[in-house]
Amino acid sequence: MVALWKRNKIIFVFIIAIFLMFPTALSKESIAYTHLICVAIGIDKQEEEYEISLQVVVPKQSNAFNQTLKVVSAKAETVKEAVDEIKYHVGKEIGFAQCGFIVFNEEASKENILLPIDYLIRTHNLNYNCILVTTDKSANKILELNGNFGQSYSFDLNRILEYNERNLFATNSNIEHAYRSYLSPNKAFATSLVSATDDKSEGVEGEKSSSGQGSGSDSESGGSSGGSSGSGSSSGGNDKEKFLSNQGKLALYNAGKMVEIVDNKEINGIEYLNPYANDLAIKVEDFTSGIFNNATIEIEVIGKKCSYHHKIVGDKLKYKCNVLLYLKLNDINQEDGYEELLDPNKDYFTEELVEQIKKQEAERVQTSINKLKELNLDFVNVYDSFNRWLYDDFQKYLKQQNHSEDYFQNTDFEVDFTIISD
Amino acid sequence: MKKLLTTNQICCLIMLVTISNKLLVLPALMYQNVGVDAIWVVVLKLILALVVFWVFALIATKFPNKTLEDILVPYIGKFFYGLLLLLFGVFYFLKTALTLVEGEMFLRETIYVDLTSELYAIPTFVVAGYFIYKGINTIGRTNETLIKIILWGVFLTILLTLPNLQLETLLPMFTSSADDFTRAFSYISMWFGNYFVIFLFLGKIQMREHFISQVIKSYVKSAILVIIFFAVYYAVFGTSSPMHNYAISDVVTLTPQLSSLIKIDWFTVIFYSFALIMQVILQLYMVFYCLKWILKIQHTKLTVSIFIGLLALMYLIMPYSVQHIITFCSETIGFYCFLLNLIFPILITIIYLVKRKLEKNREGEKVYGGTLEKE
Repeated sequence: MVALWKRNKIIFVFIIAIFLMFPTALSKESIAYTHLICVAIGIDKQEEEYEISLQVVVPKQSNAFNQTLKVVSAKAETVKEAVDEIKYHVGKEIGFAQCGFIVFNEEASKENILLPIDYLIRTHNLNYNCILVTTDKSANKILELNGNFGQSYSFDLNRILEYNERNLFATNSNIEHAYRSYLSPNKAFATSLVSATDDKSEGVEGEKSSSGQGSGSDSESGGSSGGSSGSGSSSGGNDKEKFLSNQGKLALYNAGKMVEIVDNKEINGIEYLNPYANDLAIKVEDFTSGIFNNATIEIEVIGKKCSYHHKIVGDKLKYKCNVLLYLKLNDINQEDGYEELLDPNKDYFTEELVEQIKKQEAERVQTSINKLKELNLDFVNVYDSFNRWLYDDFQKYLKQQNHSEDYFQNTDFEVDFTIISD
Repeated sequence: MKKLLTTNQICCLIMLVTISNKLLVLPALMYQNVGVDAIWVVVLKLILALVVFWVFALIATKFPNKTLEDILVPYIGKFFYGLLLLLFGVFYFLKTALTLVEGEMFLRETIYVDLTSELYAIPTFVVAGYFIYKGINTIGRTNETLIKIILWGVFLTILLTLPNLQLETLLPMFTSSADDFTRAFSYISMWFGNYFVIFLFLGKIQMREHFISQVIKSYVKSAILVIIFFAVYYAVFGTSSPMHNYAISDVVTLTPQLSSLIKIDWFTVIFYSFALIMQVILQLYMVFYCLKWILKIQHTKLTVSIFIGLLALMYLIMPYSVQHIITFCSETIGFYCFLLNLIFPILITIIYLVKRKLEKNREGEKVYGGTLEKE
């Protein structure tokens, strides 16, 4: 035995370790008994109180893989107290690492939203990919409607938000991006604005799925009911509102606080200045020239390249962007002379049309810039661009200016389009 | 003298000490001081280390049978050699504490939320104790296997971050003042200066042909990987870099496509755990060597067990906070570590040059003597 021990010491130590640890591992409680997994957070502020709503996954034993989404909420003076309140009521720790998005109602978003987020990151390991979203209704209501989408994943607020990021804004609206903007001198970032509506044409309905199909998505607000005063209530809002509405609106933030809600169309001209934005569409209305007669022309931007030339002239920053656009005609809508348009060999991008596009889109950029200048929000990253490429001159310029935060107001934008048709 | 390490093993150890300690909190810490210029601080540090490893390779080939003690003691005496070991012993002791607390927080934040200090420290110290007892031959062989996983892991991590790279974030460069630059250069010395441990293996290496070029190649490969990692980290996070304390896992978790499919940071935890354990083993081996020499104790099961037991106890009962240890290692003693890291290479280079000159003179005398005899 001693010889065997001497020859196989490592194996014996390994076996002893397994025997020691095996009972400990077996007797350990399953994580599902001790933790709730939070997939979305809603933060509502009403007067001086926060209502925190958490959309949590409650695993159920079943033959099929099945999850139940529930919304639990609590009210308290601070986010921490509200989260603690929820923990007391559900009797479990809450895991935030899988959280997909955080919804803020308008009142909550008027205060620095990065403060409650900072608390959740520091103490609850919230992940940086979590998408931020603002609502003009109650955040609790948005979570409820999202929960009602069920498990088919045909509709899901996360996907809607990802679509917005990819196709409408061409920029991220997650925590990481918000922090990066907050810590940089321009301090501006944007989130999607989603709403709840009772108009079917404006949104996607959050239907309850049939529980018989094993995809029961059960939404229940006020999960913490019965708790101490002020907890467990829900500000679910109007029950008629059963459609989740995404109309491409944006909530604009400066230094963590929401300053304005704008329609995407008001500021989407700046996407021409964003090298990463490629999902653009052009609409030329009431165009009459050559074969076109009072036509509405829909054009798709299939490719885009930007080159930048920055200069500092006197007390003005000159931001010049040359944009090369690859365009494809999508649709022409005109009542008279339609037969002429059916010729497949015809080049529709006449000189006049190209000029009209250039003029119209340059105006679109300018309108967007004017709107941002009005709000003094540097979404174009003027500061970063000048700081990167003209560091010394730009720093000198900022020192010379009495109000260095007005650099954006003192920037002249010039956009030159070059158009190549498909 | 018994040759305990092969050329390949020493090259692998050089790779380990080059990468070790640098891929967790260091990138965030450096960004706070000098922004993106941190890359150049790292480049400069690594160039200095390149010179040191080159000197090491020269000494190892020139005096293949001489240990560090044989080389240093005739010139600086036993007292100063002991003092040098004491200083490096303390340096490596603090470095081990830093590695251990960084590692514990890393594992707790990324994978084991309920990890207790006992559950982390006891197995780590037991494994480290076993390796120290078995000696450098076992450490070298194990590291030879694990270093491939570690290097490929870092390489793959860099590849996974490519979708998030925004290279323009690295601009503007060279904007920090000379003061900030030099302060950062000295503050981070605790995370560098791992080369002393390699000098301990002088006289114990079975040298192959092209030993010098192999040492330099291994070092350059791992140094380039470190520099690329720093550049990638800053290109991914930009201004939010100081918020991401666990660089190696944070850079991959930012890819939403990956993080929604799998817990991608598990992959980094697995390979980086190997790096962590090897770092701890090597650093503790160094501390034990210094103590052994100073206290004139034997390398036995009992002495290693007492050493490891005391350290484990100290780790478990000492009240500490990660932030305090990091601040202590950077701001409080960073400059002294910098001096220590500077003194040793200068000393060893001077001694090498003097020794080489003496040898040449001796050879010259022999030739001259031979000629006279013939005449």
